[in-house]
Amino acid sequence: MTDFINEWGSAIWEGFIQTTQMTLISLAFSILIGLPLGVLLVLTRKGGQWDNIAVFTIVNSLINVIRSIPFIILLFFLLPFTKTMVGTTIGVKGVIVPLVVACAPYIARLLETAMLEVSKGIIEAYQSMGISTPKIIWHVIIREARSSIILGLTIAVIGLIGETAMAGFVGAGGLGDLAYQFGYVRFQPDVMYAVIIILIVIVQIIQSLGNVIARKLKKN
Amino acid sequence: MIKLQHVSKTFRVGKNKIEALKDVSLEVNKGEIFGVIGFSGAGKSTLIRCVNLLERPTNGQVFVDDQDVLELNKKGLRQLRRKIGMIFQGYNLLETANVYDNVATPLKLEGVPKEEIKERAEKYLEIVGLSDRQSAFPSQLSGGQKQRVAIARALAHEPEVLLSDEATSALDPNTTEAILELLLKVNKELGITIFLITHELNVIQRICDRVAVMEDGRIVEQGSVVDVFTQPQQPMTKQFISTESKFQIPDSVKNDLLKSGRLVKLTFLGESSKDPVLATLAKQYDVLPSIIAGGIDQLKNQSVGKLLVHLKGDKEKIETAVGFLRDQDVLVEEVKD
Repeated sequence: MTDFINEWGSAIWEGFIQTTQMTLISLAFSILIGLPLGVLLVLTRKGGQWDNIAVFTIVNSLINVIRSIPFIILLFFLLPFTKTMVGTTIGVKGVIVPLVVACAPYIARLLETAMLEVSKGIIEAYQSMGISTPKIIWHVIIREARSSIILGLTIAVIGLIGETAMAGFVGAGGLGDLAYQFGYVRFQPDVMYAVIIILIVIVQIIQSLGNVIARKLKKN
Repeated sequence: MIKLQHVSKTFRVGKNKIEALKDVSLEVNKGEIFGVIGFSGAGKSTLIRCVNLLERPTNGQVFVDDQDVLELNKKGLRQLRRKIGMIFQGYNLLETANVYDNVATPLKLEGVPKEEIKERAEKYLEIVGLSDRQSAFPSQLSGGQKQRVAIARALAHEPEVLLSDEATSALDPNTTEAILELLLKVNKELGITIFLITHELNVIQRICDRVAVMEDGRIVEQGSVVDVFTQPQQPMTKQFISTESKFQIPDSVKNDLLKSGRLVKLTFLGESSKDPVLATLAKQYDVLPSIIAGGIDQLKNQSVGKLLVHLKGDKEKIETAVGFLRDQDVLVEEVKD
């Protein structure tokens, strides 16, 4: 055990840091892009406050198209785009772009679903009080949906962690890459087992945390 | 206060057109409680939502406080809506906010100064009798309490008009009664005009000054509650009132009674209810009245007595007796098979 930690501890720690970095940075960007998209979907759908079939159809189809492409293919397909966006296609920087492109539409969809659960009645009540739509979005829709939003984001984060495993292909490192490179390619299964256990623990912690926060926010 | 002129509303559902409102005109005076009654699907909800433009009329004009609502721009409409409170069948409270925040949040969003928010929220929660439940969440409240919170939220804007969209329809009879009392108090003590829609006759009876009866997108009858209630003109109105009345006697009983005399429904109003008219029938007109059924309905400002009476005697004598009853301001309605 001690030998193992001496030999692999720093590599695993480094992988953990890289995975955390990739996950958190892409999560932040994905929320920044996904939240407005989700709101747009809610508002422009039929019967929404800004009912606009054209905008809705475009955004809706775009999300479906991106979500149809497996991440590993998206990663390579986006190489030219990644290059123009961040100047490189490798390393943590190079993997953030495809991660965001994959995750933002997913988050948009999850948040849309969460926000659609908010009753029309409460939105209408606030409209009837002369409250403007932007305020209703933030203080009514997002507020009321926050518990479901957190649960959605929990799912998104766990999905992201899975996708970072493929970051190894563009040399971004991370836990998944470590398990693949050493555990599979160099046939050292104990490294793979260690990484798997760490990932299980991380996912458990995130899911439980998400559940607890969601329950606290629900208030009933 | 509220004036609707020739308002129509047509919804398009796919290729079908649904006319929810057909040329509806009505006026709600300042300070009164005006009710619209009708079965579900009559267009009541669409009608009330046309007042604050939650629904935009296809044709016609809507005035609130002499202001043409349809001409307002977005900002003007928001300003106007703040003068019009609205409560709903489903309460529509924030589930994630406690009672106090449910009242305070809209005020905050409108930019009301902090101290005033606290002052107003506390004042109106006191009026609706929920001062001690300020930190409770809606899920911990009963239906009646939730509706009280919704009323406090509406009142906190200090509106001139309160729109009530089936506010008591989801409540049990006792709670309905308590909420109606509260609405009466709001009307009397705060001077707020109330425009309500309902499918419960009882709501109209208890608190409304004037009523309109709606059927299939049209207003078929309107007038003071006493008039419409005691002398309904339209079949629809009669149907509404008879669904509620207790005079539904079995056909076999009715037929027996009709063989041996005449059946009349008598309605006593105000003064006419004080004299012993039935005794007079027996004494002076030689007609024997027997009471089959009866009851008293309490309207907002007066009570209405109704009797189903069997009259036995000579045909001509009964005729004169009925004439006497009419002279006494008793409404007489012949009941036939």
